[in-house]
Amino acid sequence: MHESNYKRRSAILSRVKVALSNLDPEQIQTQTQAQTSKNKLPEQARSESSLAASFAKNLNQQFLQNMTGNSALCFECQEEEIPALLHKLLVQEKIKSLVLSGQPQVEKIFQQTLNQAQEDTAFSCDFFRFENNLEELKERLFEVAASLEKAHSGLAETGSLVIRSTKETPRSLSLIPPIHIVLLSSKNIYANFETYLSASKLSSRSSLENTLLISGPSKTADIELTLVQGIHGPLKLIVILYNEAKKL
Amino acid sequence: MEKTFTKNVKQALNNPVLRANYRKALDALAEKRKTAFADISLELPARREAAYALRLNSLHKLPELLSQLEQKLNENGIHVHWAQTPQEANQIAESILRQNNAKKIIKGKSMITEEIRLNDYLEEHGFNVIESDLGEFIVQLAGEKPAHIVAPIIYKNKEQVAKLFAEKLNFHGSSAEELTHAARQFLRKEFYSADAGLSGVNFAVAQTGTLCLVENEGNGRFCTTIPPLHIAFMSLEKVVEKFSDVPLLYSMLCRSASGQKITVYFNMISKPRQKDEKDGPQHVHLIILDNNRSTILSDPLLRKTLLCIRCGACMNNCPVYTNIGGHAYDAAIPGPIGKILMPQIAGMEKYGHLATASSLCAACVEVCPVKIPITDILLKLRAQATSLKNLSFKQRLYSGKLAEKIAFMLWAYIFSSPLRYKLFLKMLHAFPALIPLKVRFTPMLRQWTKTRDFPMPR
Ligand code: SF4
Repeated sequence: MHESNYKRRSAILSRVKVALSNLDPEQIQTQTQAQTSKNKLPEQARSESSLAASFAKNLNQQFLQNMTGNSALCFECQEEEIPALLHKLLVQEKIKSLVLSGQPQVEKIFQQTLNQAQEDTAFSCDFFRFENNLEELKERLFEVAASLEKAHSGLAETGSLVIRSTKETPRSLSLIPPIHIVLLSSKNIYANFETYLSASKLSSRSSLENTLLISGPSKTADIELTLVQGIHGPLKLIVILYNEAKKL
Repeated sequence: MEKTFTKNVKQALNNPVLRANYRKALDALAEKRKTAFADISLELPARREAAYALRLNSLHKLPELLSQLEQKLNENGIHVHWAQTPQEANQIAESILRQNNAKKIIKGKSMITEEIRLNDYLEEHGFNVIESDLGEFIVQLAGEKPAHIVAPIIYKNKEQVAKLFAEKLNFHGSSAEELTHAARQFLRKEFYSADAGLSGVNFAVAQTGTLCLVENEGNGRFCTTIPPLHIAFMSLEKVVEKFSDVPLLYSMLCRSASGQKITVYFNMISKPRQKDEKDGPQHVHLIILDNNRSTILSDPLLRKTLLCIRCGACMNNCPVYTNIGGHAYDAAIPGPIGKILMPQIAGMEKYGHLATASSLCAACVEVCPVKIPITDILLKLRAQATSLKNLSFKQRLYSGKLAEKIAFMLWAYIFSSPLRYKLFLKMLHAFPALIPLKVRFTPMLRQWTKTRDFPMPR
């Protein structure tokens, strides 16, 4: 098997090489074009980003507007207000069970939420952390009502969340539970995908973790092009955009 | 094949429900695409040019990019397999599945697995394959084939879907929402218990060894995240050089395909589950398929067929596709791109006739986000199919081949301008006697004009 794979590989690659030796008159031209257009695009993106940096507020607004346009439920608040907001949301959405990411900040915020909710005797919400392997948690994950995690960053132009899978933020956290609640620091909003890529120095990196852009709750229009929200992924996406508390 | 095609066309044209389903959906899709580009209409020509240049650049560098991709994927822990033919690709998939003792397989939407008829192969070999994209799931339930590369059940209305669900799933509901949620319930169980997930690849980034997957539903994510084994399939032209190439191509794909600025999910798969990770498949394999593409590459014009990013805009805007529908082509990829791709990958004998099923109106060329010269390629394939070279002028004249060529050139001339086209229509209405003449030259139109008027240019 291994050897024949190698043989097939060599056969294909050598055929491709021979085929491409038939030069296209346009070829040389397009190569330079590709170069200039590539140079042009990030440059354009860069200027947008520096512009955007001086209008950070605008960037937040643009993000919220587009994220809302993507059918996500969006909130904006100060970092210290998150627990109260989260409490309200859990009640309002009738969320009785929650799975938490392993991020320390999420842990802390959820503890504060529970403390706040102590006086609310009607409130109850089971929770667990995604700290074991999927195989052990599978059943609970397919039953839990919602998940809570913090996103790596956001993209204003398209209203997207960037989520990197790590040991603290497993891939299925944003996939299996019907409601996905995401915290996003306003410090981490980029103008668009291009600016995110150049800021994360991806062009010089040779590898990256599994990364995901999420732009709304799952949806489909397969039946008669009628848009239906909630097919396989979450039915609902809730985004809490917060301004970080000033460190004293 | 050609006979079947003519029969299919006849049947499709005589089915008013079918044609209404298509017309409604395709008009909406074409309209959505237009609005999707409204905010960047001034930049559109530059973006298309840039997207074309990026794709062409990766085609020209294919050997090095494919080697680099393989090396990076290996470093990331993803196994790479090479397949020259559909048969080889199917066998490789089968052997990976057997090695992992996988029997139940959940599948995301992928055109390449249609091309190699993977489902048929795996089912014949005793595997249980379940399609999970809503449209593909419905197609599979009905025992049919997808009719569009982006909207597989474009030919069905919701009453037909409701009837199918009642029969096969014992679910009774009628709205798109009810039906969609019923499918969600059903498929969640399958995601839970599947032994392996299969998917296609939209772009493979050589620089980082990353497989990008574009979708709205989340089933692609399920297939590539939950089962312990993930097998991805791609044809060799899907590779792009750098990560910085991706945003533009992705944006062009979304806007052209469904009129969205961005899809719900953009999945950048780089590694199987890492030591400290809690989820993700333990094993990830990629099968890279040639299937005659290395031959297509040898012609500088035909090569451009492989620039395609499978957005479907050419079908949504094609007057022929709108009227005969996707199934009439009897091909994994229908519509304008199918007409140029299928004869080249699956043979002229089988699909050469598709190259004639075009009015050369060039609507497809106008909307293609990567500027594939579809009509030029069609003409070249047509010339190959009719192999004019072997005949003398006299023979050509009397055999009708030359007449055909002249007629097509005329058609190309008329259809290439909306004004000329309108004038031509007016003329036809004024002088109906002209109709038999043109009908004699284009076999497709004989079927077409029997049942309908000429479409007005969009
Ligand atoms: S040929 Fe162009 S328009 Fe048609 S599917 Fe491919 S990229 Fe889209």
